[in-house]
Formats: sequence, C-alpha cells, structure tokens
Amino acid sequence: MIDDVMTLACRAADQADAVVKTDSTTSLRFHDGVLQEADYSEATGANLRMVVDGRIGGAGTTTAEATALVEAAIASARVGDEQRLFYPEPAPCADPQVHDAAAAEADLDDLELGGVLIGDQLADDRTTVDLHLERSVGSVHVASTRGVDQYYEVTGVALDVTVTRTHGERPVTARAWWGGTGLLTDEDVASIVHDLQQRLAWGEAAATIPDGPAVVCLTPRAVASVLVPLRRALRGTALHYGTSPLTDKIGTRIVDERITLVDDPLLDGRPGSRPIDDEGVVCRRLPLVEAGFLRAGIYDLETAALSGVPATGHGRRTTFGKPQAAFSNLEMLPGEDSWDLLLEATGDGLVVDGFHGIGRGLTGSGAVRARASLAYRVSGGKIVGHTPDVRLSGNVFRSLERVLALGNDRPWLGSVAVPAMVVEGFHVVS
Amino acid sequence: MRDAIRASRADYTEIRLERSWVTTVAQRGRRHEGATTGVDEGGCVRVLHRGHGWGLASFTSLEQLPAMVERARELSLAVRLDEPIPWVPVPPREDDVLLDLDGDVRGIPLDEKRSYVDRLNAAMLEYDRRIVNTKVAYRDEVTEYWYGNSEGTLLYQQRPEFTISAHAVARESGTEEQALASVGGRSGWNSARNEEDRFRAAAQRAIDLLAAPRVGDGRYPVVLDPRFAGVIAHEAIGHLSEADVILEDSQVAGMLPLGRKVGPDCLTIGDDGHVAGLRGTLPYDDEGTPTQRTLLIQHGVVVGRLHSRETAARLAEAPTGNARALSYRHPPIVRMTNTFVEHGEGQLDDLLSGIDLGVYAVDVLLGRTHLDSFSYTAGYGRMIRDGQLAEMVKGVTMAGNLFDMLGAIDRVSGDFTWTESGGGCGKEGQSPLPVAEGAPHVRVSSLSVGRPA
Repeated sequence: MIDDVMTLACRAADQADAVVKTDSTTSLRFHDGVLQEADYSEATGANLRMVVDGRIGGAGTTTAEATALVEAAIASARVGDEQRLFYPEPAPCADPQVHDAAAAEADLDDLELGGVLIGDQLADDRTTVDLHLERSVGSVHVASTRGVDQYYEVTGVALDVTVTRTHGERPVTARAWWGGTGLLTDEDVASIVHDLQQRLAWGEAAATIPDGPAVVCLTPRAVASVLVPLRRALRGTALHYGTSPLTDKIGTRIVDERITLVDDPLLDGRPGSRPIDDEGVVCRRLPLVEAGFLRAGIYDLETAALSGVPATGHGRRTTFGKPQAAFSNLEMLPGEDSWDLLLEATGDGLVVDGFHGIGRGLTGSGAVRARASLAYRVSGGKIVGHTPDVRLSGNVFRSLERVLALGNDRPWLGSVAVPAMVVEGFHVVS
Repeated sequence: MRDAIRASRADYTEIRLERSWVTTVAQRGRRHEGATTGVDEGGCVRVLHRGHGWGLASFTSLEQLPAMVERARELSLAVRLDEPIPWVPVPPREDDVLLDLDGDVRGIPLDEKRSYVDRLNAAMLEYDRRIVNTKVAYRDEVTEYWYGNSEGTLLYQQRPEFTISAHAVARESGTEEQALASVGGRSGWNSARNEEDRFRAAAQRAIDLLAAPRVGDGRYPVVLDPRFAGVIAHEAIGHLSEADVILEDSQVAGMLPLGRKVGPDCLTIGDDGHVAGLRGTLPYDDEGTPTQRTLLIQHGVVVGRLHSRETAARLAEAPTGNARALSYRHPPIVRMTNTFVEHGEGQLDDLLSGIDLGVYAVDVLLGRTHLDSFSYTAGYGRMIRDGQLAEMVKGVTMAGNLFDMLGAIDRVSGDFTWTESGGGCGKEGQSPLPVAEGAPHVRVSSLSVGRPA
C-alpha cells in the first residue's frame, strides 16, 4: 500500500513520509499453568504526513483506501502551520536482530509450553499463578520523498507473570515480566521461576513497617517504575516546552555520578530494537545521562526542528496521530555492589520491588506518592519479612541524587535494563 | 455478517464490525500542533464451544471475516476447561439505533474546527498576562457499529462523540499553578461549540490559585462538589462493583458483598447506561444486552453489581448491560456507563450550615484508589467558615480508607449535576472508555485533608 500512497502524495506534496505497519498477535492467558483465554489480532495501519505549501498535515487509516488517505492528509496540511522539517536522506542502517524465525513460525502448542512450564513449577495449594504470554509477528515499511524506503520484519514475545502466595490472611504477590524477539528458552524459564520463588520465600514472615524517612533498596522492577518521571523529562517535547525539570540542563549534573543511562535501539533480540525509526531516521545508540551528567533527550523530526537540534531516531508512529518520540531499549549501566552489599547499605530500611500508580497524574516535578506493590523490611542488613501496604512519598530526582549503592546485576525487563539501587529521600507515609 | 455467523461451527458466535471517522485538533500555547483525520475500520469475532474457552480474533481487513471466524474457533478449542463457561441468555432482537448526530462532525470543514480550537485556546492564553501556557485537545468521532450473534440478535448503531480537554498554566513571581477544563458528549458539533466561557473560567482559576494559600493539614468536615463526588462514586464504588473483578480478585470480592451496610441511609449509588445523551449512554452493550439503571448501593446497603452475561451467570444474577469494549480491538469486559450518586434533600447552603471550619472540595485534579484506600486532590478548594464559603485554598488532597469516608457521609443535597469530562475510564488496557458521572453535593463529617507529600 505504501507505494500507492507515496505515488499519490508526491504529486501534491513538497515533502511526505509514510509508515505502514502490520501486526499479528497471539495472546494467551493461563491460570496455574492451564490455558484460560486465547486471543488473536491482526491489523494493518498506514500513517501519512505531508508538507503542502510549507504546511504540515497528517492522516491515518486502517483501510486500504490510499486516495482517501492522501486527500485527508492534504486537507490537514491546508489548515496546518508552516514548519520546516529536515527529512533525512537514505543512509546505511545497522542490522540488529529484530526478527526470529522460530518465534514467527511457532504454533499454539509451542507458545503454550512456556506458560504451562512456569505455572506447573510455581502453583501449589497456597500459590496461584496468572500468566499472560504474547507473540507478535509484523512488519514496518517506512518511505519518504527524500528516497528513504526501508522494510523490515519484526517478532516479539512478551511474558507477564503474577504469583500470589497466601499466608493465612496475608497475600504476597510478586510479578515478573520478560520480553524479547525470540521464544523463551529453558534458561529463561528457570531464571523467571527462581526469581519469583526467591521473592515469595522472602515473604514467608511478616514484618512491621518503619515510620518516617527510610533508606530504600529499589529492585530493578522498582527502579524501572521510578524512572518514569525521568523518562518523561527526557522527551524532546517536554524539554522544548519547558515542562521538563531538565530543560536547559544539558551538560549539568542531574543525578548521582554512578548513573549512566543509554537508549540503544541496535541491541540484538530486544523488544525496542529497530534499524530505522518510523520517520526514516537511522537509529543509533544514544547516551542520555553519563556519570550523572545530562547529555541528550530524545527527539522526533518535528520536535527536533522546533528545538533546533538533530532528530535522534526516536520517532514512533501509530496509525493515528502525529509521530512522537519514544524510547527504544533503555539501559542503566550496572554498578559494583552485590545484592548482599545492597542490603548492607540499606541497613534498617525497606526493599521495594515495585509500585502501584507511579506515572499516573502529574509527575513532572518528580514528586511521587505511591503504594509499594511488594516490599520487605530490612533489619541489620538482612531481609526479615514482608511488609504489606507500604506507602512511600518522595521526589524521584532528589532520590536519584542520593544513591548509596548500585547493583552489579542488571536484568532485562522487556525493553528496560536497570540494576537495583539503594537510595535515600523516601518517606514512609500512613 | 449474517453469512459469517451462519457458517460458524461454534456453539456461540458473535461479531462486531465498526467504522469510525475521527478528527483531532491540538493547540499548545501559540503553536498549532496539528489537525488530523483518520478512518478506523475493523471487526472482532468471539466464539465459544461448550467445554472450551472464549476464542477471540480481531482484524482490520473486513475481507478476512470468514477466516477470522475460523481462527476464533481454533482458539476456543485450544482452551480446555473443567467447567463450561456459563452464559445467561438474552432474548434476541433486531434493532437500528441512530443516535442524534447533533450536527454531523463529518460535515464540518477541518479549518472550522481548527478555528474553534484557536478561539478556545485564545480564551485562555489571552485572558491575562499571567497565563504563560495553554494546551487544548479536541477530538470528534462518528462510529457506525454492527453487532450480530448466533442467538439471532442483529443491531446497527450510529453514534457520535466529542471531547475537548484543556489546561491553563499561570505564573507570577516564581509561583506556577494550573487549572484543567474538559467537556465531552455523545453528541456532535452543535454541542461542542460555544465552550469559550468554560475555558476562560479555567484561566481565571489558574490565576486565582497563584495567590491562594495552601489548606492547613488536618481533619475537617468536607463538602464534595458534584464533580468530586461523582469521581469518587466511579473510582471507589463503581470499580469495586464490577463483577469480573469481584470474581477474579478475592480481595475485591470481600469489599462490597451484597447486604453490607457501607454508608448512611441517604447514600444511594448506581449506574445507568440508558440516560439520554450522556457519554456513557448506549442502547445496548457489546454483548447485545440492553443497557439499564442498576443500583449498587441503596440507602447505604450494597444491593447490586455490574455484569456481563458470563459474570451474571457465575453469580446467579441478571445481566445489567455493562459488557463494553473500547473498540473492535478489544473483548467486552465489565465496565461502567454513567455512574451516579442519587440526590438527597436541600441545597449546598444546607450542607454548609453548621460547619464552623471545613473545606469545600471542587473538581478533581488527580488521584487514585487501590482496594479500600484512596487519595484524591481537588482542582481547588474553598474554606468553609461559619457555614459560608470563604477563601480559595489549594493543595486539597484527601486520603484515607474508603469505608471510613462512606461511613462519615452525613448529608447528600437535593441538587444533581451530570459531569461529562473529556477523559474516560481505564481498565485492562482499554482506555479511555466514554463514561459520565453524576452527583449532588455530598458532606463528609470528617476527612484528612492536606498537601500531597
């Protein structure tokens, strides 16, 4: 379809670019290792942007009606504002592994296997296991009037497991998620099961909740949550409009010197990987924060043009709406501290394994008030028990300036890889 | 659709097909962010085999319908259940429902929509020099919808919708405040127009908040305005009354068992998908069940829950017409429509009377509930002094236990307002679903109020 769209668009546009994406997703839900629901979706969507007489417009469709799409984009451009976009020329792309033939060809039985295995190993009389497994197979075709014409195929496999063990009236719920371009291996399954069993075991005993200021050891899952305000602050739109607390802070230190944050779309087998973005910009590894210093934000073409900076290859498009900047694979480089050292640094405090609700509402300032989804009391550098119903308040940016220890292990949680860290600055609130 | 249903080999088959025309216009400060249009077309097949699970297949290419029926059948058969999925029958019906398009948005030129959004934005941005930033997001949609199932139901609906959301940011002497405004409706251009005053008021509110003091932390008698009370009814009571969540989550199941006394006699809360013209209003849900008025709490006692046909069967109750899907991309799940707190007696002044020192909470800026705990921040507040509304205050965050709050309600006024904001309800990745909330003023004898940490 994209050829028809571009042919028609070229006749009326100063410049134009389009993306056509296809996706077929199979989604399976298991309870205690038994398949409960099976869904399938297949979709094709086209998103077109046109610059007509210097004015930008756009349109999208799930139909195959190329003429109607182009007419809609022209109508949009007629009422659009003038904005010069710097469309990229075709350039050599890296070739990260984003497609896995075995994942693409897996049938229902193949897909079921991982869900059954994990459920069977974890479920027992007092433990329930809810598991959601998705496999997607698709393609991305990007084209522009500057000559970009790139097509690639993608696969994705994502797993989300929730395990609840009941101790009398006290449930302990642990969650794990995993993502990649290929199917789960036996090692992946063993690692997920071991990780969940460990966290359930820590919850066997109950412990009291400390009051007031607390040293908190954030597990990688919790770090991924508290990075949400930082991720928002690093988006080019927020930096440009001044809604980010990091506006005008490029080159200054914003967090602890042990923190280095990189966005890397070129990693093999990661869910956020891609050779080229949805606007035809070749993807590259982008350091965002280096040794605590802010180096860059992420920009799509339009926000980059507004800000007078180069696009960073983070343009992401859905069928409807404008391209937006979005992270690919976000990595925080690991520190040097073992898990035992992290607990030692925590002293008398809390291990928090995740949060409910961070990221909802107004988090621009970094202020958060959230309930921990799973937390443990640490006393004398040891985990002594599960602490239900812990609520914490604090400021993410201030806590990231007060890092006491940074873990040397950095698991991938879908498209995010972060180590555990021990921070100050959180308060336990009633 | 009839042919595809007839050809299906499953015990039960239902098909939804949709075609939506969508326009969005966005403005941020002095910058026009774009006016885009789109056509979203697709369908969803859901089938059930006795002894097996649901099989669901969604698609964007309508030519794929026969293949998707077969695909859904395969998926249903892949799920082997010890106990068959129960299912309350609903009498089949054929019906065409053409809701009033109220000035069909598809006939309004894009430049006219852009001009209107420009005016709304200017109503805020040019209101006062202290307004330093604004944002307006306009969206309209007309959807044609076809539903059919193997029990003989065939429905066609044509339904409009619009939403406008905005915020104004005021700044002076290093202090920054913002105010939100939004409106929506299951209606068209005629209703979307002429909202300038609403957005001008938001600009004024942001300015007023600059000089407003923070409310002092403490416990106060609190009067909730209809918008705040409606949001609490939706978030706290409505979600805990959704039968699919009750069946899946034992913690939720224990919250609102039928017969539990949770509030005073003056407190009645329900959901009504059949009120004319509201955002959550539809004649049928996405299982072909007629929508209805369902009481959840009556005179303070839990009396009902919201159901799909499956959850109704599991709990031996009747379907309530609350199985809704955000679009053809999603399965129907139990959702609210228009959630309400029924009016009581008297007016706002009667609720303020007798309060020496209290807080009047207006609108909701943000908040969340989790099981029986809640935390909500009002758009702004007014102190209540000697039974009268007094100075504006900010930082009005109320947090605590839901049932403590319900138990502390002592008056519900006789006025009543439906709120149709530009947002929507979110659940299981299906967001924003069009809903509305309605309530009178509600008085709570004592609540913890203070700034968010």
